[in-house]
Amino acid sequence: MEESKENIPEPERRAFLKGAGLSVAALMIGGLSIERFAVPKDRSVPVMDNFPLAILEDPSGSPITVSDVEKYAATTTTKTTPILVFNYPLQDEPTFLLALKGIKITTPKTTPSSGFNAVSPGTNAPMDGIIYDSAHNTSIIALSGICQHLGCVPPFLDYHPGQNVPFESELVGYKLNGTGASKWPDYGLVYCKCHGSQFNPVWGGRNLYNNGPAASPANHSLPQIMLATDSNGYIYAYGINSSNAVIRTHLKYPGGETYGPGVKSEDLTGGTSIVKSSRTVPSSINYYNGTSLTSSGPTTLGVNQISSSVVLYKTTVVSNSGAWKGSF
Amino acid sequence: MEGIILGDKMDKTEYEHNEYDLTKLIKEEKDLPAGSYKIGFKSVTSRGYKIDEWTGAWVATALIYQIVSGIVLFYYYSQVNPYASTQYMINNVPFGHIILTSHLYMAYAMIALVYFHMMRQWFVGSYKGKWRWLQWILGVVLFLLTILTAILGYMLANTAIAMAALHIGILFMQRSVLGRILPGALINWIEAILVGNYTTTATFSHLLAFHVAVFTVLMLGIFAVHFILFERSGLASEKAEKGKMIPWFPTNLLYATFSAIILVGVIIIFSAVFPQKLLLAYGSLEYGTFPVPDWYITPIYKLMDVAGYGLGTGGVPLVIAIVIFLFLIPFIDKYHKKGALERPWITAFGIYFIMGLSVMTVWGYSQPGLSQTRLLTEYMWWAMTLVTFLPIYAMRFAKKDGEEIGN
Repeated sequence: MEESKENIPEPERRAFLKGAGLSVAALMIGGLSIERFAVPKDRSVPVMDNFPLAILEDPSGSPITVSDVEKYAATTTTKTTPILVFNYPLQDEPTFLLALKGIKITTPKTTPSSGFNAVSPGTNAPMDGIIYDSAHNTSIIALSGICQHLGCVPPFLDYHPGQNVPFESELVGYKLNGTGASKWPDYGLVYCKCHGSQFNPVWGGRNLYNNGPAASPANHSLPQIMLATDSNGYIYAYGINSSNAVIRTHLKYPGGETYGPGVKSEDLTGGTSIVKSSRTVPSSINYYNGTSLTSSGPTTLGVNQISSSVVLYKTTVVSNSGAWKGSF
Repeated sequence: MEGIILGDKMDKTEYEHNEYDLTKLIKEEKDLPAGSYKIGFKSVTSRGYKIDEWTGAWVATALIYQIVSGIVLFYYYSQVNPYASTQYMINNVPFGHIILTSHLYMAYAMIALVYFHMMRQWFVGSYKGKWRWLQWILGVVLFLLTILTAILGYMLANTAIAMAALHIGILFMQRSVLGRILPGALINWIEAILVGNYTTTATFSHLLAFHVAVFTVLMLGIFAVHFILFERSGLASEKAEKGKMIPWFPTNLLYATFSAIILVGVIIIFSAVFPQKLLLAYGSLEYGTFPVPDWYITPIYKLMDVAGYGLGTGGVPLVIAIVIFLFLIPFIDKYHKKGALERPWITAFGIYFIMGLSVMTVWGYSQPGLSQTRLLTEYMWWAMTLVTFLPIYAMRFAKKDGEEIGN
């Protein structure tokens, strides 16, 4: 049995090599089509052109009002409060709806650099995109529920009011009624249990809380979703605060703009659009623009439009308890 | 390990040489026509029928069980409605709860057995000699595939924690070493392979395909080569002895079958007694839930917290370095003599690996995602280094001392 490959006749070997070479070449050309197969055509195509105008509804389908949300307002003495979440701008993209009583959230002059105290309610106008009810001194703010560190969502990312220091925060040194660095803020924090990121809702759009005992691993604040009301007191979400971070999954990659005006035009790709509402588009809505309460038609807000007219979408506010109990 | 220290009784106390010429695998066939290749089932002596020689067979049993139970589950899984279809399996499919639970527990067992199998070869040094170096490398690939397939399976139920894992995985790819070094388009491509256009159906179709087909077929194929190489190189701890060999059929076959039945039986009993509870669905708002992933993920999770130098710069390169080290062990281990104490550095690294893994798993379970201070981290690593290296050199010293007295 001394026959080895050296004895294979030369032409046969050449034929084999030719065949093998052709096969490899064919495979390589064919392999190029895999790229088309693996990357769906609609992958990098935005689901909608811009952030939608969406009316906030309860699980039964009726619009919620400012006074409905104020029932859930947290104060500095609150221990637990039901957490309200709605999907915006796309499905599976939870956003917190927080009502804080006894405080007017104003635009911070700069990013708070020191201090573990809430920014005291100033005489400034309420911050862009929040709803401020002066009669009850209550601010309603919407912050994206997608952690800017590595994308954890509720219930792992969770709002803990002033009298509720979660176990994980105690482990890094926060104390109830603590002082100095161990002070848990008066209105508490949005705390991510995955990796310990901290966000202070009282700071509005610049909410990254890095000054606590343990440095937060997130690089950016939770994006602020803009809110407005109409004459009925219904609540609308209409975009993202462009002076603040963009929702991480909508950051154009690579080279997207994290802060600044470009945030509004980041791509809305990767997901499913929220549902269209059958209600009529409100003729005008009221919103804070940084100086005062302004009233205008939604067309001027740069929301998503189809055939140059604004389309109204809807999104459901759900809670972990109470009448709005449900899943987002 | 005992077998190796007692290995002195065998003729050789030194390892065979590695064989890097793979064509010799074919040339070995003496009584067959040229170019033929035979898959043989070797006979072994009675020394081969021991628990520590059988670790691979159990992993193979687990793989086969996962495929069989996985096919049954596949009938009922729907990627359009992942969580609801999983609930349906539990509540409405006859024996569904037991099958689903046993699929989970066998996955746990498989990972634990893979670790057991790997550490046994590590301490024995059976990645040396003939084609065993290649067998080890393929084994590390199988180890990685096992973990990845397990993680994909864990994501398939669309639980809150699973989706957190998916989001973290994707953002991690973008932001860690991968995303920073590779061009953006390539990361986009890898993401597309994982989640498509990111709708629920596309995401779960992709994850399902990888879990049930791509990775499983890869695993089966590589396992086949891994197994053939084993049959070719034979047991690392013994040489064929004339007259003492026990035929493969029926002894080996029966031994393998019975041990497989015992493993499957134990898993099914556990599944019946402790049926799995389906975790919180994605989108549920039950507060106070702690993000604890499955136990085989917690060591990596915790490693990121204790690396102490940030994710991108500390944790990820560390994990990559550990994997590269695993691949290269057959070439790093330059010791010639057999026995765990004759290879002190390698044995110490093995114990370090086991300790690190256990500490990270337990710590990760009790305090997931909590960044640790650099000082605490340093204390822990240095303490572990001391605990591993010191006793091994002490034992080595004691052994030599004993031998000198004996002489």
